[in-house]
Amino acid sequence: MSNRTLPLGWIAFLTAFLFVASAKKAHAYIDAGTGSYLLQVGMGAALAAAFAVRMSWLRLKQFALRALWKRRDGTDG
Amino acid sequence: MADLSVLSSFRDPSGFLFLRDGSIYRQVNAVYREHYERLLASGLYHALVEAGLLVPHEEVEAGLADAEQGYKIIRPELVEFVSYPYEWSFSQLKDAALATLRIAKTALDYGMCLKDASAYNIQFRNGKPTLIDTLSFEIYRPGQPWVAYRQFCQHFLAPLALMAHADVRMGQLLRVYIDGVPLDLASSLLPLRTRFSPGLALHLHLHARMQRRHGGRALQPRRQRLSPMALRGLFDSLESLVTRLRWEPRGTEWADYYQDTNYGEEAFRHKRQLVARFLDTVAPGTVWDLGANVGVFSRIAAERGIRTIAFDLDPAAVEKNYLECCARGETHHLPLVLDLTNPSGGLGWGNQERLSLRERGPADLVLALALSHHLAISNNVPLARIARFLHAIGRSLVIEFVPKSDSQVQRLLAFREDVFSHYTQEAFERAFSEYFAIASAQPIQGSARTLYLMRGRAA
Repeated sequence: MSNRTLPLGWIAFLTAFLFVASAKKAHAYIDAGTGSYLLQVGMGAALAAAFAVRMSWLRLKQFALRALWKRRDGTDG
Repeated sequence: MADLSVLSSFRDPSGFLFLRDGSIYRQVNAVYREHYERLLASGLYHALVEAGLLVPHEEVEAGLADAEQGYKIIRPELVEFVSYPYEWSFSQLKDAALATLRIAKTALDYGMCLKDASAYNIQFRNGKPTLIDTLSFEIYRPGQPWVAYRQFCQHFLAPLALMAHADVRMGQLLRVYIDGVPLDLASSLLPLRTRFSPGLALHLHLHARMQRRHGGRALQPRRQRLSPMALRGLFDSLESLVTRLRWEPRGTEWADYYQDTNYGEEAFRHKRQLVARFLDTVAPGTVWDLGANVGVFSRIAAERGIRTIAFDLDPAAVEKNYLECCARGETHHLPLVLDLTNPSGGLGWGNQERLSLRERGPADLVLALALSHHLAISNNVPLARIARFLHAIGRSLVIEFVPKSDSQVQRLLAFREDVFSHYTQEAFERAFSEYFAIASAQPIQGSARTLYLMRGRAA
């Protein structure tokens, strides 16, 4: 890839950045909280995936630590 | 005696607080019956009370305050001193936020949902943030998004992010915005780099934008679904974001005060002894330490089991004091941010939702150590007005007079004309004698200062 071409990741990031870059004034007096609902629903799949990965990682870490302790106890004993 | 409604308790149709014969009660309305019964039957109430996250209550056989709507009366354990989020230091607000998320996660484990994430529902009880609104839960319907998401972000995330990334004094925005800092305002005040933090970009900047685009739009709630796994993911994401927000107390006016004072070791020790002796003489149940700095003297009261509130203007000093309270496991000591020249006033609907400082008093004893010269000289408050205010908030007073010859006063006068000819010990005693009887006046050894014990005269 030439140095003058932006990588795909950067283009995606810049697009996302421009999207979030300018929050203009909200009209609180008619705000029914719809934006908050839609945001949660919109990022639901990503939140669920991130949570599942984190839980799996924690379980794996616990399993590894338990195995390590068991081995150490066996060696000491 | 007629019931008195608690003026901060009117928004939630589930129930309300009222005062009867000097005790505080909460009426649970019939409309909330199913949720209240689930709270108890599911085991959630006991789990949260056991973890110190929810204020315990007992059901009482008292008459309903509003028989038309009422179902049950409960008596929650009394919170000794009500404090507000705009009086908390960074870590106090952060701990309150994390407690709220822990409560929300626990509720989900028991098939319920935290429907209200107001920072005003959290109070520091025995040094720990505790939910005081028993009616904040509803039965969880699988698929429902978190109804309190926006409220959590406005009450906790936005002020915390502003304090951590912009300026710690931004916490004071909570005084102006009673329902939390508007997200579009927070988004515009936060530095550019926060847009590169995935958590803040999502929960704050994008959230603000979504509110702007869709805030006023009506939608069919049943169509908007969020899986239980995604809801747990939302709590998890907010928890790790809040945990990562940090602020280090340094470089502010008072945080290093004791390293920069003219006290010798002897004077400091003698002042501590005198304060301890005066506390033992009065034996107060509550102490308010005004200008408490990092809590060296308020700790003398707290260690005696006296409920002590340590107020200071400097968020860095209050932060240091709070972290010290946590490290020591202190249960009777609550540090709070307060500007004495502009103390918390009555706020909210009818100026009655959030109580002013005076309405939360009087304390049995007020400590005003090394304070009068700051008020009289730095802020030009006449001695008579200082005396009147201290009389309004305390039944007894321990106050230190710092004479003009003291190097701290000289420093205050270094770059200004000395127009304070009335600032003398005689004038001080005269002004305070109008409101207090001087019970004892003890010179502090190794200094030119005097410590007074005064008893308030009947109004």
